[in-house]
Amino acid sequence: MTALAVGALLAVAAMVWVIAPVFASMDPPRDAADLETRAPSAAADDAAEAAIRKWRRTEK
Amino acid sequence: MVQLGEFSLWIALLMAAWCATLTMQGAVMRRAALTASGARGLYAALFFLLLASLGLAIAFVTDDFSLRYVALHSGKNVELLYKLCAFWSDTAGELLLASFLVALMGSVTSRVVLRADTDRRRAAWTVAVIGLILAGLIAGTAFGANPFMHLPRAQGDGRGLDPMLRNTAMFAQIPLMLLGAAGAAAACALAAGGAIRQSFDGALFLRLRSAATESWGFLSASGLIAAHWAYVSPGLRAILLKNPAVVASMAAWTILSLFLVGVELAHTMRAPQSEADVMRRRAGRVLAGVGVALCVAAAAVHSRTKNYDVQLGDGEQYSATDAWGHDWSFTSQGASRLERPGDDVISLGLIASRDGVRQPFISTESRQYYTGGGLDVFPAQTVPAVRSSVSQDLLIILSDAGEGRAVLRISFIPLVELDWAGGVLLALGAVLLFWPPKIGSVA
Repeated sequence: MTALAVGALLAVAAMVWVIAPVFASMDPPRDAADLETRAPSAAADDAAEAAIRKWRRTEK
Repeated sequence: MVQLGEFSLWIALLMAAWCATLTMQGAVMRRAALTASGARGLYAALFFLLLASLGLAIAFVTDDFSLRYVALHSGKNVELLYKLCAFWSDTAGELLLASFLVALMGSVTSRVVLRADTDRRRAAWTVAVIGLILAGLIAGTAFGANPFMHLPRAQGDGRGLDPMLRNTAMFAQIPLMLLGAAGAAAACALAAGGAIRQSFDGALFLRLRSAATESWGFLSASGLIAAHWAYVSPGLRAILLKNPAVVASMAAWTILSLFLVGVELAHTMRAPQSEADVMRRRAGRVLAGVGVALCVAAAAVHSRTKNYDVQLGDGEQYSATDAWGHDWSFTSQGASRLERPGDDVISLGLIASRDGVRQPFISTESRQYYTGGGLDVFPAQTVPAVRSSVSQDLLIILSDAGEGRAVLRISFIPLVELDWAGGVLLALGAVLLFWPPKIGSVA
């Protein structure tokens, strides 16, 4: 591999590393991402059902 | 590696420009991601400047005379140490080394301010100013004095290094001076960051003081080495004073001295200090005081310096009295001429005695340098004989020699060693005195 090819590879790697923080800041917020992929929880379901039942009773 | 070095110089310029632009954007738009990207540009510029510097150093070590800068400042008969020194023997190499050292000091400074400064925008402006200074230096190197410029046809041998610069002091003096100048650039960036944001707090002031003291220490060490070097090499002072980097460093040293003395005077009037700081400052005051006393004592007796301009035939004797009233005699052993490839050396031997007691043999030289075609490539150089002792220096300079006669100057200079010792103690004491207390150590 010639010196210039090594230089070009290093330059590209450096550019990617240098620009990375700018793209990282464009990612969606971690909390929102977590919401989409969070595993279902039985306790959360029970709590939600209890809240809905309570709301229906108060409505009546 | 030389090609990689040349390529790296241009990538470093791109990275420094990126650093200046992105950190300025980050400071104006209050976006930390842009500042972080700009700071990474500065670290990348440091990496590529290291590659560029290694490329040029390897070109010198491997005698790559296809590069104009190497062909002008090195040669096959130059020793390895001086091949490395040839790197910073002229503007192009000095600019490249200065760029590398500014990137180094700037990277350290930016890492500290980006982590510790509570004013994020001020930190971003500081890194932006470092990036601007660095981009200017690299642009000056790449467009104005590129050390990687090629000759149309590779040379078989180089011109060699200027004999005036073939001194071990060359290895340390210029790098220390440029390191001091790089520290001054970092201090300027800190001050500029504070000025742009119009916010100067205690933490910034301590950082500024640390950077200024480090820079002052390096510049002082470099100045002492240069002064000693110029003392034993007649004609060097004129060369150094023509060098823009030396003149700029002297100006920076003066400004930093005024700043640090002003801060010190203001500091002693207020501010409680920790016990360690009190001890450090006391030690600094003692060292600086002893240094000043030695320098004053040496300056007071310099008026006793004795100079004799002498014309001496082969075998003739000359008598002189030194600064302390001792009788000296010098007997000429005649001048000898030695022809070597590249230079002619005329050497005059003298047998000296003091108060009738035989002293070590003394020889002083005059050298002329020429190319294969007989042309002078460098100015003729005189190598004086120097005999140093605590009480005085004996300095003999050969002015001219020929047809059985020699013209020389014999000087007895008292207490020169005290001058050097005083200068070193003064610089060490001042660094201890100027060094700021640690944040949080103040009682």
